[in-house]
Amino acid sequence: MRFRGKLVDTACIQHFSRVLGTIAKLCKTCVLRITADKLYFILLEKVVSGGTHTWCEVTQSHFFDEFMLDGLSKEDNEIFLELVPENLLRAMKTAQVAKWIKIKLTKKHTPCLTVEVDLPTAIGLSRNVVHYISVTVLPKRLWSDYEEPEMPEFDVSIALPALKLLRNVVDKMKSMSSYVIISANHNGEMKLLTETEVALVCTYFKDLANPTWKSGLDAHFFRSPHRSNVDKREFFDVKVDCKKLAQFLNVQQLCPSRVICNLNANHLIHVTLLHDDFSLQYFMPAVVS
Amino acid sequence: MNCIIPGKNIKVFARAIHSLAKIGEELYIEPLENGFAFKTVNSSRSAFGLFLFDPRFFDKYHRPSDNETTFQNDENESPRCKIAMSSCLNIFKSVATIEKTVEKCKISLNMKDDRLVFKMYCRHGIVKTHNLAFIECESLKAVFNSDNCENCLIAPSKMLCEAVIHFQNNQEEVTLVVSSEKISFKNYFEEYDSTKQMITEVKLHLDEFNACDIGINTEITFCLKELRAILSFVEVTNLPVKINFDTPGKPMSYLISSEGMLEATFVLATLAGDNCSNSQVPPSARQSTSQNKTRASCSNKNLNGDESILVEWDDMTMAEVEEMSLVEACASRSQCPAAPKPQPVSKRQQKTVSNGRNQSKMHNRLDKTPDSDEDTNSPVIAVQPCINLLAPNIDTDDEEKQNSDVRKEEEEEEDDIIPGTPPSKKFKSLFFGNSQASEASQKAAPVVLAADTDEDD
Repeated sequence: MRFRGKLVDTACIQHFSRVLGTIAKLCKTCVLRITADKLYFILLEKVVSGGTHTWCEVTQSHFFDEFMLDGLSKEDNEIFLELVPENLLRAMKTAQVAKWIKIKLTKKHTPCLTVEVDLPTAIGLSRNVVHYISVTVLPKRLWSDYEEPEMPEFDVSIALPALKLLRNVVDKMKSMSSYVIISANHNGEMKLLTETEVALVCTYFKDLANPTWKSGLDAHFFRSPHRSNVDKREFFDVKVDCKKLAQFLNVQQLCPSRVICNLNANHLIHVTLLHDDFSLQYFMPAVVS
Repeated sequence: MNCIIPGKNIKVFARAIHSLAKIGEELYIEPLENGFAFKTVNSSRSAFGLFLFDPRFFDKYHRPSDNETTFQNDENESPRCKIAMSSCLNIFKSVATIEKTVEKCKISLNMKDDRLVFKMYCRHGIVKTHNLAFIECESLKAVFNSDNCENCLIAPSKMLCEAVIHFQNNQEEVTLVVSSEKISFKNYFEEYDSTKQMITEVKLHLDEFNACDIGINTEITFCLKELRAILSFVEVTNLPVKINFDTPGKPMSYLISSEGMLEATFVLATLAGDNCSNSQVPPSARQSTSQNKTRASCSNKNLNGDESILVEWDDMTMAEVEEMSLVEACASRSQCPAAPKPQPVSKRQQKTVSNGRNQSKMHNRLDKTPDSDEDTNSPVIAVQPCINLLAPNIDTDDEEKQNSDVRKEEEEEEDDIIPGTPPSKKFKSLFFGNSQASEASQKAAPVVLAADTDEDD
């Protein structure tokens, strides 16, 4: 098993650090799946600690100038690593102005992801900084746990407003209550509602788009069997953990081009972030009350 | 004693105080013939810092001549005293603005009230006076000769700063690896947990150094915190740092000097021996290593320990327990310093008595202060409304801080008197002793923190 990648462009380095930063904020440990053309950061949270699920796909060629992979075998040309994203982020943080960064899978005492950074110096010499981040290589029998999640059924799909705005609202609600109810309808309306014993706060968003999925898919995914009969103004609610939602909304630093949220009433929310060179899917189960 | 720091040098001085404050909790002050010395040592006695400001650094530098017997010193030496670092740090709190606001700073001794006086002459004719209580003490020295060191590096400050930022803030120790081919910094873990920590190595080009004189290839491990303290000073002054070091276990020194201005010396303990890392793993893990090896490492460690640096007090002062508190002239304070603890009978008895008197004097003065204008040393009072206007919180803040300082010190003293308390870090290499061994035995187990050398036995 061999893996080596080289980042050269400063913009790529910074963008990759931002992706890592987002991942690191969401969880303590994650699984990095490396394939010939993509990197996947997969976070599977235990049900007791919230049960969220994140699937982040990064197109390798958009970031890496050199990329070499010898996977487990010819048929399974992939590597699954378990690592602490925070460590990788720390290594990248002091390397923002680097001439190049090499990321390699190496074997020290334990398997390591070696991050080699070449920094410029005042007198034109290069300064080498090496970080050894120990990782766990996952055996093939565990790979199936980290397969791409299936698109869940949903009642309504809505394009979210600017995440920064949303985050500000949720941050305020966080201090009031630990839960927030997200509701949306087919009329491009969404609301965030939270309540305490003495107050009820609801934020309304309107004129949002209801993306249409491919016609074939539509029929499959929409739970409501007779869409024509459904009142367009009927709201579907999902009650979720406010802290988790606020934590997730930190992804706004990635400036995604499009964010779509699918709601499965009283069951889960599924948020998809789309960007030129990466995509991120986030699943958050509803809180039963 | 009377000296004046000009406005252009006040920032450097403030930086020096800040740097020392990152190491120790007490500031030792000693006016010498060749300059004004400010020293500190950390609580585990594993790091020592000294700034010696040249007389040319000051507008005016006057130290008492021999016939002015300021202290009842045997040899009529210049006054030596220590003050609480936190109170001194308060005076020079804002490094960023101090240069713009302070025109000059006068440091003098008020013999009448036994106070060390920092007088800041600020713009718009504002004068801030800080009267600091002090404890007279003996000279603090690090016994270390940098000439005997095998290795010497002269490094530009910027490079060192850039090298250090790659380590995490919570990183405690780093290892400096030198050979004739390469020089690198590595982070060092007492107990490496691969799931949480990552190993970082910063490789430096030999050409990046101003000079490299490497006698023996070696790896020495020392505290990053103190190195950061040193770098916080050189970062702004941009002075090259001369690093002298030897083999593991022997102290390393950092020298910073600016011709005709100042000279700074820092001495840091290093971890003894590579093998020593064996003795640092928890007992359960150690059992698996061969007994011989452990023993060898221990003896090695002891050897190293005995011949390493020795911060020496010419005369032990640890037993002298006194309250220190920052006394702002304008602060009306009702809280009393704790009574001095019983002292061992020795030739210091006399001093104790005089100290006792000082304290009562302080009470009297404090009681008087709020409404007595006769006190020539508190010009702040004269313009109190104005001061209040300018810095409305100054009184209350300081007072609170004083209280907390005093409380903190009381706690620390209690900590101090537990004999054999190991230093917070296991820098076993260090052995600090009393130069007058016989006297040391008289003092009730002075907390010369060397007891941990045989911790593993």
